[in-house]
Amino acid sequence: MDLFFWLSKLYEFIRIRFYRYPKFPLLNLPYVAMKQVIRSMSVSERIKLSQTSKRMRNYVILSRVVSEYCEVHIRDKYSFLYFSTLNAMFYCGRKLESSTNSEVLTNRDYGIWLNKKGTSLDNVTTIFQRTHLVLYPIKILGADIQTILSIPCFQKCDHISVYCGFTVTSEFLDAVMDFAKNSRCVTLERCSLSSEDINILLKHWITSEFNMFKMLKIEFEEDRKGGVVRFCREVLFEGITVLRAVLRQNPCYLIATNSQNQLKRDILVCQFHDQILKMITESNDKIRLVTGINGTPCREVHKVLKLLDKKKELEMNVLDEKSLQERHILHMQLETYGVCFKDNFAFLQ
Amino acid sequence: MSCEEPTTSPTPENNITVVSSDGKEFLLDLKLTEQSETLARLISNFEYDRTDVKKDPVPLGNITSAQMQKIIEWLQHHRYYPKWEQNDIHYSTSFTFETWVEEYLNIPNNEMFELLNAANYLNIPRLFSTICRIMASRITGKSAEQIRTVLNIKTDVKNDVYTGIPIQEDSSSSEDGMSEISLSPSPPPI
Repeated sequence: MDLFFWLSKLYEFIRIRFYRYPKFPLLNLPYVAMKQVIRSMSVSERIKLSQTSKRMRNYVILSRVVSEYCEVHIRDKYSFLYFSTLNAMFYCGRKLESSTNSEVLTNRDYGIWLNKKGTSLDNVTTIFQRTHLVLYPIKILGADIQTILSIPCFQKCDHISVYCGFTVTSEFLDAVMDFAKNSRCVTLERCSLSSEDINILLKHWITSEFNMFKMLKIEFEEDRKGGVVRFCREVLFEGITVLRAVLRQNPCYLIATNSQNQLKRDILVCQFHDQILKMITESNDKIRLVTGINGTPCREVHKVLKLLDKKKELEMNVLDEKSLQERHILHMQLETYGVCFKDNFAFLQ
Repeated sequence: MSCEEPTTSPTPENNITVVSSDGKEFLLDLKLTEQSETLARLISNFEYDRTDVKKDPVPLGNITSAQMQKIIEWLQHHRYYPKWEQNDIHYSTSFTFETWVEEYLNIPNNEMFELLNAANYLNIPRLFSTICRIMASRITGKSAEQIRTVLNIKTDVKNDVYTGIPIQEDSSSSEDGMSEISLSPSPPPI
């Protein structure tokens, strides 16, 4: 019995090991089954498979998975793309981090796609296009922003994160803000703009006739002596009507646009956190501020800000009986919304 | 488990008979059939789970007796496993299978292909996904040429991507690869 058992084991071993492996005709599988087999492969396996034939390449494309989020990091020879859904990192050259849970692909896996004499940006663009994935919010880190944004495939990105350093030219900022035009998100890292510069930007936003950005996040650089940047409210909002309130449990400053056009995002919300200034544009209808008046949310931020504007205008005029009466009526109206005044700033109770 | 060697006491009430393409009959416990969506749906449609319904043998024309034997072995092993949840999108760098599964699927590629077809026909997601992953692992680390050999792919690329040497073109494929793809089987001749 034992001999028979061992003989059958030996036969099995020889059959598997020494018999020339028969083929697995993948293309003969039904389409759904084939798609499943391809999807269960890693990215590098799929890339290899796509190189076997044009027909196979098309099947690989048909079996692709949509990536909801992709990050493009442009860092010279360590540039890479990261696809969250696939949990895969595509390096242009060698990999930077040694320990990662993601699948890491280097130029060895797709060397044939890359131009050896090409720049890192060329290679990133090539891989980006080759991956054939649907491109949704994309984060770009890079210095030469004008060049990056001129590449068509990167113009679809929803988010751009730029490292500024100490020197920020006006052309650089123009390029970034041009990109942000269609309600996109921008992060300026290690930025050295002053409170006066931000004040000019805010005034420009108020008079602007189009949606400038969806979110502008400025991470300020520590000053040259290593000190922390302090925002000066008075300088930042000089000549601007603001309303201090609490939005989603965070203190913020609200500004309304003066645009004659019906803009989709007509309210700007300013928030400070340490060295970060966050400016989010929102539609008036979507802002719900919790006030102390009957605990009801204030839905007319735009109206309150316009009243504050009018109040400011009246305060600049000569005091006469008529203006005094108007100011009194305005005060009464503002009180109904729960608006108080402290240190020359209006705030919601 | 086949009808010849039942492990549990088979009673006609909680069993159905399936017939393979070569005419061999297998007695299947209803509990086992829950793992196969095709059989589970069939049982539910014909109300075979009721004791008062006469159970006709189910013909499985696409599955041979050898494949059926192998599949029953799989179903028996995973009898008390929780329901399979599909999470095919997230590839993990550390795919591991239990020793039993590795031994069970230590079979030549052609047998693996037949088993995959059978798992697809019977819609057994756990077996299907496992075979898919094992098959994918068999091409890991192989060059395009080696993958062509294993997966029986005839190239339609004019030059080898690595060597640049011209390759004999696949006569069955046209210039545009997309035209080759059909999502449904060709209609039967009238």
